[in-house]
Amino acid sequence: MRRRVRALGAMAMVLGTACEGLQGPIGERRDVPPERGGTLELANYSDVRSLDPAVAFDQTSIPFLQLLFTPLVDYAPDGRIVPLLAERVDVASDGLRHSFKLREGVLFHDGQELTADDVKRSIERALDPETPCPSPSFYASIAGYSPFHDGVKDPAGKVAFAPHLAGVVVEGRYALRIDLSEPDATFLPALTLYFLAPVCRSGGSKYARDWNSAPCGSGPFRLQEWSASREITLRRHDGYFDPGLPYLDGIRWSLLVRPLTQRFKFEKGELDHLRQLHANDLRAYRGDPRWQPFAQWEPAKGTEAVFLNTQMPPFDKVELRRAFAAAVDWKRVVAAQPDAVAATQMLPPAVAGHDPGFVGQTYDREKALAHMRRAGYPFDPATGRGGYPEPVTFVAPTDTAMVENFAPILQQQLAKIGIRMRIKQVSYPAYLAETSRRNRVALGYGGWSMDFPDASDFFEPTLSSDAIQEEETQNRAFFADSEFDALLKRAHHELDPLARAAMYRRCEEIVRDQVPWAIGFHQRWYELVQPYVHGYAVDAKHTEDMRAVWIDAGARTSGRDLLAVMRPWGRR
Amino acid sequence: MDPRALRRFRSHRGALIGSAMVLFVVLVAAFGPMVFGLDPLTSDFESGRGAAGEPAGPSAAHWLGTDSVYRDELARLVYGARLSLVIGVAASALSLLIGTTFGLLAGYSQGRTIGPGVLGVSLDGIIMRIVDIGLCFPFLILVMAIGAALDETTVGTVLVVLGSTSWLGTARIVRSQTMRVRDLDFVTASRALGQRTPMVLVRHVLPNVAGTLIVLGTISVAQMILAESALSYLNLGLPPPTPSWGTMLLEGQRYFAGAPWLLAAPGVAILVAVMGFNLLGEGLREALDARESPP
Repeated sequence: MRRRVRALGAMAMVLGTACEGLQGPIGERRDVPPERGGTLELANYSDVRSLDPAVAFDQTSIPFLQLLFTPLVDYAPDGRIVPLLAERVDVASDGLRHSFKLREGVLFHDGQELTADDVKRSIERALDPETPCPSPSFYASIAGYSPFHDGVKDPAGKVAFAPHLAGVVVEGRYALRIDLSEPDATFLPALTLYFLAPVCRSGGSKYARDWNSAPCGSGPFRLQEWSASREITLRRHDGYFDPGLPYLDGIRWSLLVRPLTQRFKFEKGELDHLRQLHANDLRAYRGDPRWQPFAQWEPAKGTEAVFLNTQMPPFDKVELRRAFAAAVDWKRVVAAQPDAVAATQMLPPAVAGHDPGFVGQTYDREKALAHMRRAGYPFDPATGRGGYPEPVTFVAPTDTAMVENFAPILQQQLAKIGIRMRIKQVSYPAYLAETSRRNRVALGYGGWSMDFPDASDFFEPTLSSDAIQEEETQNRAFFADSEFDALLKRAHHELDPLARAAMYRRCEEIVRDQVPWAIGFHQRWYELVQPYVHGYAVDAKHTEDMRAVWIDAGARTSGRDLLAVMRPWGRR
Repeated sequence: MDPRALRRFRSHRGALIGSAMVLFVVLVAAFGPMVFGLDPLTSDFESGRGAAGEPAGPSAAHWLGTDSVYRDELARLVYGARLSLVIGVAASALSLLIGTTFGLLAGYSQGRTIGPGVLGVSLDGIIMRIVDIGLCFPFLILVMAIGAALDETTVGTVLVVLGSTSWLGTARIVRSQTMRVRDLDFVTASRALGQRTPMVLVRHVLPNVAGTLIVLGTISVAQMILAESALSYLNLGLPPPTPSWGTMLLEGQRYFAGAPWLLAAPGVAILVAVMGFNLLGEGLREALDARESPP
C-alpha cells in the first residue's frame, strides 16, 4: 500500500515547527504587480570552478546550479519538501519505494524534452564510480548502489561494477521509481540537492570535464556566457516548465569582486543584491532605518566551534573538556560581532531539530574550576598557581574571524581556569591536513555548515565513529561514543519525525555532556536588495534564491538619486 | 666619530630629525610599558563599543581607544614598538654579520682561485653567484615563503628568517669596498710583513668598511621593521595575541570607516620608525662619506 507523499508531509511537519522563520521574499512587502524584463546584477568575491551539478558543491557554484538545473524535489520557503521537476511523489509506507510522476513537456535548455530516461541517466552519471562527485554516499541507500558505485570483487580479486543502478527504474516516459535498500529519512532531503538533477543529453551518461564549459539543464535560466574568473551571464530559459517564471531577462554575475568593491557598486546601483559585507559596513546598514525594508538576516545555517580531540592528551580526559566548555563565555566573545549569535547546541536555527529552549553548554567559571580539580589540575585564580602544566596549541586557519576576533578572548578566559592556550595560525590546506589526521591536533577550530536542513547532516559527518578515518576525517575530535552512534543509525532510518527529533535531542545532550566540541556560535548573513528589486527569498538549503526575482524598471531608472541619499554614512 | 664627520652630521637636518624620531621610538619602547602601565593582552569589556558597534574610541582610560577584542590600543602600540625594535636591530645585526663575512671573503679573494689549473674555482665567484641567485627572488616573497613553511613562528624564527635572507645586498657592497681597500698600501704592507689573512681582514680591511656598515645597518633596521610588519600584516608573522604593528594594521583596516584611529595608530608608528631610521642612515652616509660632502 502506498501513502502519497507520506514522507513529504512528515518532513514538512518537523521543518514547519522547528525552522526559524525562513523569511519571505523581501519584495513581497511592497504591493506592486510583477514586471517582466531586466537584467539582475550580482557579484561574488570568489570564483566558480565548476557548473556540472554532479561535481560542484561549493557555496559559489550552488546559486548557479539552482538557476540552471531542476531537482526532482525542493524545499519550499516554509521548509516543506515539495515536488519540483516531479509533479507527484509517492512514498511507500515502509519508506523503501519512491515513485515520481514527472511533469510532462519539460524542456531542456537545448529544446529537447526531459523524460524519465534522462533522470535515470543523470542519476547514474552522477553516481558513476568515475565521477568525482563529492558526496555520493548521500544516496548510498538506493538499492544496488554498492555494486554500481563500489563494485563487487570476484574470487580472483577483480572488481566488477554493475552497469546500471538497479534501484532506479524507468516505468514510463514520465514515470520513475527509486527503490531504497533500507528506510532512509535523509533520502528526500538529499534529493533536493543538485547532484542528481537531470542534465541534457549532451552531458552524456558518463561525466566529462569538458562538458562543464557548456552546462545544460532544465532550470529557469540557461548559460549565455562564462568568462572565466570574470563574469557569468545567464539568460531566461523560455521553455521553463513554470510559464510564469522567470521574470528576469537575465542575470549578470561578476566574479572575484571584493566585499568593499561590492559595497561601492551597490551604492552606485551597479549591484542589485549585497550579502558579502564587512562587519563594519553591516553595522552601518543595520543602523540605518531606511534600509530595513530592504534587508534581512538569513537564518544561521552553520555552527562554529572548537573541537577537543578526545583521543589525545590533555582532552582525552572528559573533565578537562567540560572545564574548557564551562570556562568560555561565548556571549561575551561574540558580543561585538553582529553576525555571530552565541550558541549552546550543535544544530543551527535553520536546521530541523534546533530547539531555542535547549539548555546546552553554558558558561560557569566556578563549575569550570571544579572540573579542573576533578581532572587533577586544580587551579587557584588568586595566586595563578596550578592548572594544566603545559600550554595547549589551538590550530586554526589564518584570516578567519575565529583567530582574529575570538581566539584572543578564549585565551584570556581559559587562562583564568589554568589552561594556557597558544594560537597557531596555518594556511587553510595545512589546517585541513593537520586537523583531519589522528593524534595530530588536540585543539582546533571546528564547525559545520549544513548541506541540507536535516540534523543527520550535522551529527553524522562530524561526530560519528563512522566518520573517523586515519586521514581526511571530518570527525576532528575523533569522538566515538556507542550510544551516540546507535542513536544516529536509528535516526537515519527512522521515518517518524517525532521519534527522530527525540533521538537527535539526546545526541545534543551527549555533545553537551561529553564535549567533543566546545560549541561557540552560529554565523548568520545579513543581506540587502535594492529598493527596486522584488521577490528575493532566502533558499532553505543554501544562500540566495533568485528564481522569482523581478525588477521595477521605472524605480530602477529613477532610483539612482535615492541610492545616493540612502547611503548609511556620508552625504545625507 | 671623526670631528669633521660629526660636524657634517650635526648640520644635516634630516639626520637630526631622524635621530629624534629614532630616540623617541627607543624611549617609548624602553619606558612606555612602565609609564602607561597598561596590559596589551587583557580585554577590558567595560570599555564597551561605539554607537555603531565599532571598537570604543579614545577615552581617559584608553587614550587610543580599544581594539576589536577590547584591548588597549596604546598598550599594544608600545609593546609593538619594543617588538619591532628587537626584531629590527637583531635581524639587522645578523644580516650584517653574514653579509660582512661573505663580502670580506669574496672581495679579498677576488681574482684568486683555489685548486689546480683549469679545475680551480674562485671563492669570490661562488659567493657572488649565490648572491646573484638569492637576489633573483624578491626579498619579501622569499621571506613569506620561508615564513609560511615554518611550523611555528616565534620572535627568534622571525629574526632569523629576516636576517638570513637580507644579507645579500650587504655582501655585494662589502665586497666592492673590500676590493678597494685590499689594494691600498697599508694592506699590502701588512701582508708583506707576514700577517695572516684573517688578521688582515679584521685589523685593516674591516675598520675601513665600518662606515659603510654603520650606514647599511641603520637603513637595514628600517627595512627589517617594515618586513616584520609586512609579515604580520599577511598573517605570517607572530601569532596572536602578540602585539605587532603589522597585525594591528591588519585588524584596524577592517574598522577604518568607524574607528580610523585603529588603522592610523600602527600606520603612524611604522612611518615614524621607518622614516627615522632611514633619515638617520642617510645622514650617517653623508656624514661619513667625505667625497659627497667635503669639509
